Amino acid sequence: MSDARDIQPVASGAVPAAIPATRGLAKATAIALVAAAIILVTLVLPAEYGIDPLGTGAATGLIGLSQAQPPPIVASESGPVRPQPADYRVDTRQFTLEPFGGYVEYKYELEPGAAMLYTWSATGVVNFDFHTEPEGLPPSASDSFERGTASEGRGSYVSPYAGIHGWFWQNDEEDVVTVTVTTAGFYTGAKEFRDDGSTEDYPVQTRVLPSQGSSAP
Amino acid sequence: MKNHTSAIVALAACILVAALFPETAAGHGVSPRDANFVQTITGVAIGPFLYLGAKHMVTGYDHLLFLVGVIFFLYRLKDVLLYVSLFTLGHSITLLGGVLGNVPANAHLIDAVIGLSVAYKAFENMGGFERVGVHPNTRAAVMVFGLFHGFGLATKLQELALPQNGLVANIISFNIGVELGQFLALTAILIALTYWRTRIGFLAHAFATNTALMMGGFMLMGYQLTGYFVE
Repeated sequence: MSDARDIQPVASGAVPAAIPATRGLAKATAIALVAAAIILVTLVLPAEYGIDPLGTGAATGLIGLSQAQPPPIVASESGPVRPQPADYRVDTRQFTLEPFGGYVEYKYELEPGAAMLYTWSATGVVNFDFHTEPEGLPPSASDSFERGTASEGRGSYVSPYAGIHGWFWQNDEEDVVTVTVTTAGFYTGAKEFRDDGSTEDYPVQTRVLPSQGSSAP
Repeated sequence: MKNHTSAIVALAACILVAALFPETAAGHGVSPRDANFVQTITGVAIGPFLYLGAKHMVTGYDHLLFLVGVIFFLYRLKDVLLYVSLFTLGHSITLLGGVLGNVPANAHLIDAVIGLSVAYKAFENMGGFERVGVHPNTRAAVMVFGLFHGFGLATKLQELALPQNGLVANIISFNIGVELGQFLALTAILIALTYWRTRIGFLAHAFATNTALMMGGFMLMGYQLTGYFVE
């Protein structure tokens, strides 16, 4: 600023203190412009608008200011909204139980914490037992959570441990009974055990085709 | 040599403060919490609007920078009062007229002109117009830029969608608050300037200080013009 200091002060109210040399004025104005441009491009634009032509916003972390979002709400094991370990699936099966002791077992593979909604109904009264087979443990480790005689049931289930979880249905009556079970949940597979000693693994549906909600009358 | 060093320190300090502007008061709007409060108002609320007006002025770096530029070379209290009155007249007209008349305006463009007003005043203080050989009326300039500063205040209030009930009383309260805040800020600026003027080298540093002020003005312009084109 040596150019500016060569000048003589002028004493008056609102008038500048001095008239600078043209070179000093031009230099100062250019410095102001360039300094403003540098700060703007390297710091302000990245921080305010996410415009980062020189990469300085990324280098200083200022770019994050322009991308700030409200903190996400994370679903937790204890909250009303819980994350689930597996894909959402739906499944419907129908079983025919022969009279005088015919039975079937139908169980889902569930990870610990995996949830399932279910409803089942039978054309007659059956004995049922909702129980588990914990993974890697002997049959004695099985837990029975609900047992009784009924022609229907519905509810929700959250798996306490890995293994297969489901129903035993038995027909003690004298007519053939059909049991229909429908579930939705986060299981990875299903297994059927028949009274003739055979078993069968079922793949379960991963997707449900949407029905046209908007075209409803 | 000592003068030179302290001038550089002063310039560096100005640059630092300028660089922190976007951090400390991004966009210089009304804070979300204050905005939420205003949304809940249904009638006359003189106290809160007085406070909000004063707060807006005291924390409004664009208005403060312009005021620093305006009174930088005003040594007599009579001159300070004259220029500040012109500025007050200008911004009161557009603050009241803009909000009550619901005049539409782009806040970014208005704020860019406010940035220009800072650079303009700094250039004037540097003796730029004298050197270039033009002599724009300094009083008219302060008045006209005052109009833009008031319009800037108006756009911030319009964004809040103020309730019609009690609007006039609330806006006038806000305006009076602005003047109270301006009085407080001016007092602080004047005390600092008056002290500085007693120090050796004030005039030598004046040029550098106004260069820094000009830079701040240019930065505000660039910031707001970018905002206009991006948003």
